[in-house]
Amino acid sequence: MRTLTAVLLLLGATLLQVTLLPRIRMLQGSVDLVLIVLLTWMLQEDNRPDWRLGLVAGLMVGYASALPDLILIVGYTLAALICQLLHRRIWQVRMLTLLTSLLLGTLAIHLITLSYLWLSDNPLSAGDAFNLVTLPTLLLNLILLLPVNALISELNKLIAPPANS
Amino acid sequence: MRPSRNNPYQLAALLVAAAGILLLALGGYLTPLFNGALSPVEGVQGWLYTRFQAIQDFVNAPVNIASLRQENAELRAENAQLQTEIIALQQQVTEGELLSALLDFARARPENTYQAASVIGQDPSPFLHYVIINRGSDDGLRRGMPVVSQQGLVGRITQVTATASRVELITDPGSQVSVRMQPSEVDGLLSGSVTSQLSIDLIPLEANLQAGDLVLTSGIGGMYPGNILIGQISNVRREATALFQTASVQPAVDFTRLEIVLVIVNFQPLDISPLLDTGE
Repeated sequence: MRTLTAVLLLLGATLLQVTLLPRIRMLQGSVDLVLIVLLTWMLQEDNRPDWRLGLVAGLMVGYASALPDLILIVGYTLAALICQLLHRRIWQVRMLTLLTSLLLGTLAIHLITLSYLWLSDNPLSAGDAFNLVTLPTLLLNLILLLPVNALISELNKLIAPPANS
Repeated sequence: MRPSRNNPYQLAALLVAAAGILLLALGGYLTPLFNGALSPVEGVQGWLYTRFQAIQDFVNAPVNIASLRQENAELRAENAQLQTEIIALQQQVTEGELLSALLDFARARPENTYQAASVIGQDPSPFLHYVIINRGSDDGLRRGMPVVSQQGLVGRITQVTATASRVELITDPGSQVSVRMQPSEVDGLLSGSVTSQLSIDLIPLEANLQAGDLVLTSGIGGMYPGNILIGQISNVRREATALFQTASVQPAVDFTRLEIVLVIVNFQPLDISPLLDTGE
């Protein structure tokens, strides 16, 4: 049930990511809702972080994007692995884990995407890419993190209420 | 105090006084006096009238408040429905205007065959500038077909499924278009960037370009048909040590508001890559 919910959530996030969210831009950056949903779901109480969800997220975004599927699968799986690793290290402070995972996950996905674009002879300036795309995306992700986290927490409680309630 | 019949002087004095008062009143000289005298009376009259009206309303108020509320709710629902219809009609008018402009564009170039398509999505990666349209191979679309709007060149199809296609915009960092500037008739190579800015490279140093010159497709390379408007030159940069000039271009198409586009379906892009093979 939990896995099915996670896949449905990621599917909904991907649809929003393709249709609505690219219109909400800061400079050239846009929100990565799929990554936010992936990490907040993985770090919910009673959920054991599973890096394979990153694989699913990468497949979904890869289907919608012009980038090769493999690039996005590697990127999102790496973000999920970072989240799983951090959960074991600093699991006591969930929000701190979430923020750190989001920061490192966004950087990882952008770095892998940029590496691919550079290797495929796309004339991208590293400074422009960081200042105009990565930093604004990070800021937008952080802004959207709190409401998405609240929504997914409520959904998680709805699906599996805590044992003492 | 009645005037005596046998006192004609008293009667005459009274008549003169009455005529005087009448004349003063007709001349408007007594208006302030009347106003001053009547204003307290009017105040009292107004106060009494509003109180009476309130009591009358209270007594005559309809007993069936529930039916009024129901009618109010129905009217509100009808109002909301009409508002929705107005919004839908406004959208249809906007879409109609857009289609009319596209039709004008298509009529101006009768040599081309077009397939209209709606933009239904954008690439989720902020590094790429691609859109997804709702027409695919079932509608005769093929990879490489140019895409235009009523304003000018949009891009070209890079991937096709049965019911949808992916279009690479000319603002994409990987996009390159052979262009010709007018009126100078000089050729160059237009490139996109991650910031969506368009720039032209490989312009000969001797070319005399001005801001405001038109930029059109040249047709060289066989990827796009010729003479499709791209935009206007906004800035020319010439460096003493450089081999070529570069220019910035203001695109004619507003890529943030793309809704409906036209695919030129009778244009077959040429693959000239075998001719570029040096045979080394």
